[in-house]
Amino acid sequence: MTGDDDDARLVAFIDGRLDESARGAVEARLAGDADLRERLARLRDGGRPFAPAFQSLLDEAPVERLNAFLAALDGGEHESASFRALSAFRANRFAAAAAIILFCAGIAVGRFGPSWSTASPEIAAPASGQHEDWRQAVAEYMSLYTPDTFAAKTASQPDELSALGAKIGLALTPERIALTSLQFRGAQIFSYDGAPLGQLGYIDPATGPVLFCIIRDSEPDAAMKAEKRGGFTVSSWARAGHGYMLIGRLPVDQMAELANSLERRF
Amino acid sequence: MKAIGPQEVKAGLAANLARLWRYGLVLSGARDVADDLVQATCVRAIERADQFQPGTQLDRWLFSILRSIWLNELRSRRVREGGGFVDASEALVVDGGHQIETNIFAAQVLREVGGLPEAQREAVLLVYVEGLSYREAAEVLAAPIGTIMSRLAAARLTLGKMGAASEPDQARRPDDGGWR
Repeated sequence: MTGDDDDARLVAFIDGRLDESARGAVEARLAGDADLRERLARLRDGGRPFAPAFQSLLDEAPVERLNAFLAALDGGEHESASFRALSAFRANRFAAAAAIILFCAGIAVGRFGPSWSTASPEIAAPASGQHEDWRQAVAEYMSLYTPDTFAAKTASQPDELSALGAKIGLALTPERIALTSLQFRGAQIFSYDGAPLGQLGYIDPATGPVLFCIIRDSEPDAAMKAEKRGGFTVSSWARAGHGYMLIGRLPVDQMAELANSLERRF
Repeated sequence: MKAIGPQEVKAGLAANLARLWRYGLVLSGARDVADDLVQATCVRAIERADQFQPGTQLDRWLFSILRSIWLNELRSRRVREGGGFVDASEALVVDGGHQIETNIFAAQVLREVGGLPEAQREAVLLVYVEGLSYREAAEVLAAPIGTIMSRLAAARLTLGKMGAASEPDQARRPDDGGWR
């Protein structure tokens, strides 16, 4: 038996996982082998009250948030939808949440529903209905954000912005995306129906997360407009093939002010 | 035995979210990655409900799925991205922070385990914390039983060098009755 084999067997001995005969054999060897007894002592020294120590990590788990995510899954009725969700997950967990809500939850508002606040069937889908849809997706996964969402996120890497800018075809710099009174917390790239969708995350000390999203798409130019979507304040516009959206829980006038300052830069 | 469906898997997931998250944290050393891992595990387990073998334990199956996602998708991505990877010993202690401040000894155990290599960390978690048999841990890790035991031995030797525990050793569990 090699030393490694001895160690493995001694661990099983310590853990009480040997059957009677194997245990007897180890005990017999221990009786006549001082080196093996020394080895056993060293292995025993590495014992710890592992289970109680790790109990605290269970308490740290964000069970409520994970439960909300799980509840949004549809139980497997739309398998391809779940694949979409998983693909999105590979890019980012919030994209996954968005995809799951979009594709698994049955899109209760209707794929081209103009918005939650005007969900009357008489209202025709806007000409840019498909583009409205990405804003709806953002609004839906925005509901999963909490003030703690960015808590674990450390300061954004400088490269993060330029990399995101390259994907969506815009030069992004810290100055260009800075928002008064909001802390920038990072950039992420998503994909919506094949179009790159960039997301810049901010924290407002009073109302929590604010997202500035940019999609590179052939969206026709559109003037700034403000609306409420799912309890969020949204300001959006489109220019030169890019769609823009600022969403958060800020009051409408504050949101509009921030959006206007961004529009001047984009 | 009757096969279980997505709804049963979903219920099983709901009952095991915290344990899955803890496994994700032990593997990745990062809370946000642990979140990702659990969410992806939820998606995939529901998709693959028909692959669950009735009569086996659902939590073990979920552990396997989470681990597979970690190995095949997330870990490689984190490595490619480079940087930004929290040292697991810090993640397990500093991030595990406020709940355990009152128990310095527990914090020390987490820090020590967090400093072990990934393969040893997960062996310790599955066997000594989750209480899996060697055989069950081997199935989750898709490794021979001997490998599990070797990893536990290596973990113990490293921890042993840090000093003997000042509290009693793990409870002995004569649950296996052999080399399983």
